[in-house]
Amino acid sequence: MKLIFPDGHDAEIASEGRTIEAIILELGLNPFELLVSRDGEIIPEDTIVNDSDTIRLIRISHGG
Amino acid sequence: MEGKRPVCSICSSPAVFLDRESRAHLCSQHLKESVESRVLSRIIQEEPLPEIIGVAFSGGKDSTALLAVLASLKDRIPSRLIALTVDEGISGYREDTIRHAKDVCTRLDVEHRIISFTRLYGRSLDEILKSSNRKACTVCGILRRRALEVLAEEEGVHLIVTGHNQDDHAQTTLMNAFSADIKKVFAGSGSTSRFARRIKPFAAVSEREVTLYAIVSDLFMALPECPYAGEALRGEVRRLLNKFELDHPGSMRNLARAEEDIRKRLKSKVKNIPMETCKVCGWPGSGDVCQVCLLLNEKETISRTDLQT
Repeated sequence: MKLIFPDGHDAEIASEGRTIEAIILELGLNPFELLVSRDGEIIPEDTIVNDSDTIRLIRISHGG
Repeated sequence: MEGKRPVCSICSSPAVFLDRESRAHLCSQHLKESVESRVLSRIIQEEPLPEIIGVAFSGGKDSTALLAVLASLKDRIPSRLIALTVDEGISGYREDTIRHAKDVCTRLDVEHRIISFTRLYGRSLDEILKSSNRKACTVCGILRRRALEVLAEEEGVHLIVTGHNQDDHAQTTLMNAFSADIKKVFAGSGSTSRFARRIKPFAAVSEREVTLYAIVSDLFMALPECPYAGEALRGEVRRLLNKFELDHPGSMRNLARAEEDIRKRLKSKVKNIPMETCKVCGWPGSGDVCQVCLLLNEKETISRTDLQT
């Protein structure tokens, strides 16, 4: 799947039947600080994603 | 084929939100209803409601969501809404958020008033900070609070609602604990008839829910980050708490409630020092010269010294 990070850069990641939360955790990020959209629609972080998905991560809060 | 997407625990529509503590899911409609219900229950504690409610409206996601919630509750909250925006004058940052604020007010059909630091203090925040050694967030906080009070007074607003959410409350509680300064829990609660009363209708709504509310209402816009934000202690506390919340869901809510609980339990035991009237500007303050005048005069002194050298 294609994963687009909050700063705009992207990466191809094998979904392997995992939830997006598991993938975010593996990347060393905190899923509590992010919202997730798939094809422009918000999805909960316990959604199981597919390799054909384009997933965008949205940072909830900024800075200080 | 689309991966398995959880559904709303109430209506089975596609879910947008997972409550990490109860593991319940909500669709966009039920998330909105849940948020609106908590905001309404907080607002009606203020009954009888004033003729006008001022919404402290920066144009960021929290105040945008708050304005949207209140606009959606107009049948239940009969007060007239006025969005109050302070333009601090932060180059490369505030232009976009002010533009977004104007656009949101137009879309929600809410009256909008803007006051700028330049009009009120004769200088933008950028200009003020050039001759200051104080932290930007401290300077901005003091001056912005006064600007909002001035704008509220000009508009006849006696009740201001702010977009502070549950996460903000939890962070503040922990920051107050770190500084071991119990007086901060009661900061701003000194009685004076000049300041508009302030309440935080999102106190029991998480930042995650607030952000989602703005997104599913099609009012969310990724805006630039304040260039002065990086230096704040709050950012560190936020990251710490977010990690803790991930491992122990519900901690953030409990911490936010703890602040309220401490305030209620100690209210009768804490003697608020009556505010004094600033001999420079006439506004209430904690000394014979208020923080705003101290800060602005300090800058003038520095500027004069700079000119002499």
